[in-house]
Amino acid sequence: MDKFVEPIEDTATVAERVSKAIKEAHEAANVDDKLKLLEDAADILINNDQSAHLLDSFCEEMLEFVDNPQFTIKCFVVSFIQRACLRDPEVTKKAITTLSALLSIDRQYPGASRIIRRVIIACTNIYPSIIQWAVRKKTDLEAGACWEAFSILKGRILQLIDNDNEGIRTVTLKFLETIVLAQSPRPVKDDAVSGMEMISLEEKSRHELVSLTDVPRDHRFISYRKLQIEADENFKSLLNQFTLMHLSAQNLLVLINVVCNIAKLRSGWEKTLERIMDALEVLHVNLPPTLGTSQVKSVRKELKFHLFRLLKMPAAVVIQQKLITLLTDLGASASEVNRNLPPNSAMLPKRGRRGEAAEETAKRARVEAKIEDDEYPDESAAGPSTSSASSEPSQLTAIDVTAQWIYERLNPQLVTNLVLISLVTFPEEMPAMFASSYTPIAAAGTENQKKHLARMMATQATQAEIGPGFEQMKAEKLKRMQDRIEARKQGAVIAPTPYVNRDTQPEPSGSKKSEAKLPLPTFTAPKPKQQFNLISSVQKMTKKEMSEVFDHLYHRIMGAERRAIQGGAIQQQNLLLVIRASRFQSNDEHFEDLLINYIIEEHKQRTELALLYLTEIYAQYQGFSHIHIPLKQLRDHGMSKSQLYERYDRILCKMLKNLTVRDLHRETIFHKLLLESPTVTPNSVVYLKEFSALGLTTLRELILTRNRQRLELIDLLFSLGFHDKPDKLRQSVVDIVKELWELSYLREDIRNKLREQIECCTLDVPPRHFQTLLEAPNKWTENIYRNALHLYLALLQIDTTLLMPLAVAYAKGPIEFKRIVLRLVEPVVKTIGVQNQEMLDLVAECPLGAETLILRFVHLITERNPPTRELVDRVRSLHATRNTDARGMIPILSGLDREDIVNLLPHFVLNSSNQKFVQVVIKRLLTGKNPDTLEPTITGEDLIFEYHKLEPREEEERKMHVENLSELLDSRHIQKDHIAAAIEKILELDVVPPLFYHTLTVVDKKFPSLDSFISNVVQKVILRELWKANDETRKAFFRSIIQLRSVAYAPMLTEFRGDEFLEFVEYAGNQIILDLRDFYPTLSTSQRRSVATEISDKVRDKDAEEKQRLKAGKDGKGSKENKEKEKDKDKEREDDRENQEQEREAMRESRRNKEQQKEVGTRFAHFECADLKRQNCIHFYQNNMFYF
Amino acid sequence: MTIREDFSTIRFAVSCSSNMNRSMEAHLMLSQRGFNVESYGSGNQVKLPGKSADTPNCYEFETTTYDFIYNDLIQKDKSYYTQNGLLNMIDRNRRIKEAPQKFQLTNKEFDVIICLEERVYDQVVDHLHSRPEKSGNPVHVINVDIVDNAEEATVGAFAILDLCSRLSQCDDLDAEIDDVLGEFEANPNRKVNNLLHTICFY
Repeated sequence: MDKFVEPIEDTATVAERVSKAIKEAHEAANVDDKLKLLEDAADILINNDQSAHLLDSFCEEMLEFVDNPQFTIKCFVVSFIQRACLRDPEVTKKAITTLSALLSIDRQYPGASRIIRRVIIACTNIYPSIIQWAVRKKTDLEAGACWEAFSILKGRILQLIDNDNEGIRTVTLKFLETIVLAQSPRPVKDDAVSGMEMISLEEKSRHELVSLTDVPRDHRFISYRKLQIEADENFKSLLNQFTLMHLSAQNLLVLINVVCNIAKLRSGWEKTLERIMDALEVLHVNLPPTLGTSQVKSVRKELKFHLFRLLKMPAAVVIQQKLITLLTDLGASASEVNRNLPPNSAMLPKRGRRGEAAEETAKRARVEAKIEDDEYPDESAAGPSTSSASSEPSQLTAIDVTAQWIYERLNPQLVTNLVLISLVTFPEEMPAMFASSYTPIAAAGTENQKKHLARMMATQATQAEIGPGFEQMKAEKLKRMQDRIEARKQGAVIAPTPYVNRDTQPEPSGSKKSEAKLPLPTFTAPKPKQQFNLISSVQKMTKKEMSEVFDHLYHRIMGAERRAIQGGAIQQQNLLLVIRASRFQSNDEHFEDLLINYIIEEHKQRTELALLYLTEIYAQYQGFSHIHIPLKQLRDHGMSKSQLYERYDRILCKMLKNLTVRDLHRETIFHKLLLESPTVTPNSVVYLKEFSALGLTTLRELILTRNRQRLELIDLLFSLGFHDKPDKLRQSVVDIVKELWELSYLREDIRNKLREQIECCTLDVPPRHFQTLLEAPNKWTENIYRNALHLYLALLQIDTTLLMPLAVAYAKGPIEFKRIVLRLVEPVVKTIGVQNQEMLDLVAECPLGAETLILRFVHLITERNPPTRELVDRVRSLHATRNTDARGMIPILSGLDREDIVNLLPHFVLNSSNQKFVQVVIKRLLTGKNPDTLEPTITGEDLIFEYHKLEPREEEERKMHVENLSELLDSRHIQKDHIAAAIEKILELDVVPPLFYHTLTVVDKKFPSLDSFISNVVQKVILRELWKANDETRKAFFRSIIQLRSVAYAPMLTEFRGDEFLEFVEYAGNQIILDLRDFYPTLSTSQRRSVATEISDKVRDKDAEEKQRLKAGKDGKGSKENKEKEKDKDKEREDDRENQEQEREAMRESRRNKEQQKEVGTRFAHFECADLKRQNCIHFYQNNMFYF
Repeated sequence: MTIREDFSTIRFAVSCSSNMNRSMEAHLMLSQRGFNVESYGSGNQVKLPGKSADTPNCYEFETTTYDFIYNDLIQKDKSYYTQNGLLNMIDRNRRIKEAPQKFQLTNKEFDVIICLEERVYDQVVDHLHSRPEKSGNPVHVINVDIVDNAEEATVGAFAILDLCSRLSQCDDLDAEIDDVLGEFEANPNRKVNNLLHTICFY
């Protein structure tokens, strides 16, 4: 595809081309093709799109390619971002995340360091334009966010200054350069103009694009002050890089390059030139000892090159003398130096003092700074920028002070001594640096040379932290550090301080001042560093030292957390901490404690670390990871697997314990440790026990996720049910167990555990986990039983397979247990339906000894629902085979057939212990619906009938039989017609039970309206001589007559024969006669007629009759005729009576014969004559249809 | 128009003074081995020895083709220039590329620039430092002195080939170059003259 797109092409066509290229790139299989297509698309977007909105719209599509695993594609994306951001900084908003992501790319990725490098380079390039853009977009919130994001990115890049990859350090140095240049003020104009000739070529570069001068003080999201501090601190950190002993040649070169660039472009800023000059002087005599010959040569060459360039600058006159000296030391000839002096330097002497111009510049800068600060008086108070500007020369002074001090003492004698001593300490071979830097001293012994020598020695002394100037420097360093901390606090992003490996034991500063120490032979000359020799340089450390170093190191790593986070190296930091604490045998617990405390201090941030640690320990236990053990100790110190496990357990428990002690068990880490650690040990889980609600949730999660430890965890969960804590916990346990039970894969485990728990209840002594602290040890108490059952019964509701184990345990368990079970099952079992198959099975296969429980169950489940046929059958067979208590049959009474009921009836009615159930039984029998017919199995009538058929054998039973009768007849469900029908039926029996007569009295009391019916019955009884069956019935009959009184008197009087009446009177006593006498007059005439004479003689109240008659006579004026008439009448009556007596006897005989024939029709006839309501008759008729 | 970046291979440049003998020898050898290489001169003019020391043959870079020089020399003194091997060399050169190129005039970016003489190294470094920084990509400038005659050029080209092979085997050039140069310098079989190395930025 050709690269050129006609500029006149309209936007739509261009967009089409771009989208086509991107689409093809997506599809292209070959990386090269893909890259080519992408390049084309990028080319159009960046170079050929006039409006730039295409770039905006296609940007994201292009950025998507970053996900491509190919290294080259990733590199391309970075390059595209760079170009796009330069073209239109708006793109940064979208690209910033991509850059961040790429910067933290996994180091394992092939070419990762190259990608990171490219990202840094891209950032270096776009940073100035981002500042420029952000300055412009004052009010754009997105720009603000983007700026923040870039600041973070900046911070992360700066952390890379310590990276072990030289290439990354190289580009990071360049990035620092850009930061310093972009965030420091541009030199004032005339300086710039004068420098322009020298740096004319640079003017177009990115360094000229923006400077601090362009940033307004009142910008909404860019802090001028922060930028200023950042630039200052980062510049210092650049200078500090020079002191690094391990700096590679390559980065030293870059550093020189960078620093000199800054010197050139920011000559007037904060005494840059002087500070740089100072640093370069130090560098010159202290080149890193690791450099090889050619590297030293290259560095010196580079240094010379840059110094010449600096020399050319008019602004550098301040340091001209030092430059010239240094250049001479580097081997530059006088003519070379002269050639490179700035063209107007000849004028300088005329202006008087040398360096005046520069001083003026500096002064101007200071004044300017002051003016600026005046505008912001609050800032100037502790402004580090001004203070640092004034503090920086103090190092210079430190060297100066020492130089002066040395200079004063440099006499020939001392020098000779120094030379002699140093001869002894010369190295075997000439160091590379010395070889290349040595130049014969042209002006030996002159004042200048002495000063130079003194200065060189002073530089070395200050480097070595000795000399009178050092104290000054120390104070200054401290101040600088404070400044830096202050700046960091304000949010400035600063590259980390390089770690300078100085002597491990700095001597107390006071002793340094002693004069005897100073003239050390090592100061005699700017002695080059020795070539690095590992063997001679290292010393064996003592064990104590070693452990101290380790300790310090460990603390240092721990302290570097924040930086590690900033630099995206937190994983490595964590790894280091974990490895040290876990992989070395010695001092194990010490580091263990250190690390655990460290984790807990900031547990929110360090949860990952904790898990990493545990994972490592676990890996060691499993043998995936190893503990480093010196070979010779291997035999003694190798830990066995169980020891390793103990160690894991110990560490996990220690963490949990520490958290518990500090009352942090509510924190996430506590639960994460348990949930996410590789395995949970039994000891560790115990910690959960302490904390109810939250701990339970975690435990639940554990049970759900920890497959292998599930059983242990379930054990724990169950044991929590016995906790002393309040019921709330127990309820939570129940809820959780229920919840877990719902999951099919846990159900069986839960079930087994429940079974186990219920089986435990039958043990002699409660298991350990059943016992709580409050209870007496090894003794069952009601509380324990309750606790054990609480959970079980809760689950029983939803899982009825648990019924059987409960029954088995019940059968085996002690009485106390049984009692509690019976009490507690009630609410639970009620919820189980009658239909439940397990319940039916349980009833069918009732374990021996559990019958009471089963019957209780049956009772409970039928309380609300009628029993089903299945249930009835099973209970009945249970009753049959096990001879269970009749009470157990109560619930299913309605389902039984008549025969069973009849068999059962005496168990209640005639059993003294079941008396209180009689009422229930009767009610059930009368109301319960048979599952098959949906009607009561036995009608009221039949029941009464059957009741009467019961045959009490003992007196007590007889008594109960009588007593319970009222229960039966009092029942709401017994109607008059039932009773009447029943009585009819009973009458048909061969032998009417004595109870029957009692019944009559009871019925009479209850239903007075039945009196005529009853008197009829009595009449029948008498006519059929039923009462004469035995002695007992006689008595019963008589008793009933006495009680029925008037109801029975009529039939008795009319139907009893004389002898019978006498027998009755004999039983009832003469008192009855009086009663009968009162009654007799109420009889109708026809009735009177049928009364036997013997009887009527007895019961007629003759006096009363006489009186009546007299009374009647008086009324009829007492005439004789009347009296005669009366007499006649009496006589007639007497005759009549005789006749009547005979008639009556005959009638009675015939009635009795009739009665005894038991004609069916009579039933109805009685009702006709009875005083029953018509309705009742019809009803009765209907109910008794089957008789007809 | 931007220059297409190549992310996968190292872009080498070799430079001598005139882009005639040493750099072209190395160019040929490296390109034959498949390296991505360009060659340059860094002097003001293409200078070829003339019949006497004070009358060199001077040509402009870029505009004068090897072909032109070849013909020019034939025209001047064919037998003399054939005898001293110059024609042969230029003949080889014109089969490699069209014309001698001046380093200071190119816009291309490289990863490694190998200079074959300290003066050339100085010029190259000076040029790189003087041009405005644009892309910020680092470039390693390495110097290996090779005496300017046909034999040394050939021997030197082998040394350059060795160096380039070592460099191209690096996983991470920027991080490892110090070590590679150390090894290269320490090779007992070959004496490397005046090895210098610096890093510049485009």
